[in-house]
Amino acid sequence: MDARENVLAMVKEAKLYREQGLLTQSILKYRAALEAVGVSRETFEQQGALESALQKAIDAAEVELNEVRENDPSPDLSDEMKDLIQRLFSRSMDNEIAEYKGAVALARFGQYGAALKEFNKLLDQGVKPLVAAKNILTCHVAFSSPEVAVAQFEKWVNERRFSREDLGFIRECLARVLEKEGADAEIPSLEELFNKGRGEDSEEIELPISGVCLPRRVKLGREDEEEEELEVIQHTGDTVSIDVPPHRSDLLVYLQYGTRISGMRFFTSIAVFEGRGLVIGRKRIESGPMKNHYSIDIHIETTY
Amino acid sequence: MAIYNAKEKTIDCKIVYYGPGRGGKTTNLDHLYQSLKKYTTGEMVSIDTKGDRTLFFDFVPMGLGKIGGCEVRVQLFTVPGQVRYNTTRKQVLKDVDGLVFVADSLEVQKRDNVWSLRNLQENLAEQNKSIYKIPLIVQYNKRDLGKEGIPIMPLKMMDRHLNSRLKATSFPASALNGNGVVATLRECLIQTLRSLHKELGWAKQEVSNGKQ
Repeated sequence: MDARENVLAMVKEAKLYREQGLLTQSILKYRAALEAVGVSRETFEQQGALESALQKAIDAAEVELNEVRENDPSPDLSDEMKDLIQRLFSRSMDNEIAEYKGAVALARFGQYGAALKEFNKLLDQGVKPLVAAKNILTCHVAFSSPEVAVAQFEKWVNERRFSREDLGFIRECLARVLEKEGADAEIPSLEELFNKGRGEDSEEIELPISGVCLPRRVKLGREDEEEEELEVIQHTGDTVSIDVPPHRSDLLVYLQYGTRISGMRFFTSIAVFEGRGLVIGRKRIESGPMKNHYSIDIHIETTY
Repeated sequence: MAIYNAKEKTIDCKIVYYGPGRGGKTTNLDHLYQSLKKYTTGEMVSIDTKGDRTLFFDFVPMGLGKIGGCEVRVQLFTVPGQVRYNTTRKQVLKDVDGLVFVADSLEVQKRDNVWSLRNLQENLAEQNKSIYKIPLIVQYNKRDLGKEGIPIMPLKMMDRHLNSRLKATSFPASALNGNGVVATLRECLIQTLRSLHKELGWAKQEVSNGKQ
């Protein structure tokens, strides 16, 4: 094969690889062709134009390759697709196992928000609560931040939602997840958290929080109001669960997992204090007098 | 593992198309969906594919009708071939009953084929499954490109690299024009149903004779 035929064959190959989506192979072959043209300059009449065309082809393939590499590996899917994932990957004769498998599949496909919702549902229903808790923390680390996962764990401790032994197990799981992700968030020991809950080592008197006021910038949807106090459904330790009624659903855009809100005001029966909170949970209430309201868990990080 | 509902007399099993990225797994499913319409029981679903690259999976549901008194339903899946999507591959591979390994015949894909096969072995091992025991068919795809003067590996060489230890049934194929695609699936279904028959003890006669 003479030099001209050789270059033509290489270009044909490079083109085909590009069509096949084998971009690295295409670039390598175009580069080999470019080098071959440079070596046998006398063979090619329009050598400059040929080199320039080959370089253009290399550049175009490189641009495409970069786009592929920079693609979000797990884009947020439509609700329809999330439903399909749950349905397809929940093969089991046992309904509870099927629901659990569906939630795991959502997390595996990077649909952490939807997976969190399902795992919280399973936890509320008491289906494999330890496994659900472990998965909730894993999703928080992947989806929002290690701090949210730690705050969620502290909330469970404060609520005494699990036995001390189970909390120890959950703490170990969280430590492993954080280590695997290389996160340096510190998890307080169970002793520390229990003592804090009992008020030991602390002179502070805990006052029940009855209402929360979000800073003005969070309430972008309602310019006509100066301030709006949102009712607190539950206050345990450093976490408050606030009620977002359906007519304030505009707030949900801002109250996402992992959002830090400075300048919040917390109302107690005798005092008002300001502080910074971290959204660690959101759940739509499915039944009862507060049906269709949202319960938003906010971990109070600092007060001033 | 397949779901066998003795009361309703149904069996749901799962076949996964595995292999290196851009090797033709989606093209296989596309062709099957178009050419086996009478067996498909729903639309082909391709989830969020960017630039023809599978990011999640493709899916085709099929119904084979009654075999041994049981309604046999089959779900065909593909996995994303790119190296970085291993979590997705593991998820799709869960509960798999039969496999088609789609190898790319292009010479430049020699290493990717081997990497993907090793990755399959590792991911199966995590499910306590052996690549040597699970029903597996190897397909050597893109054979048509040889005629266009593009360097492809001879079948003997591919068999030596990929199949000398597996000793799986293999088929040359060109998924783009459909050659070898249905034959690959047919053989995979026969081997999978035979294996399920062994495990579940259903459909004695017809599956072991390779009927349907």
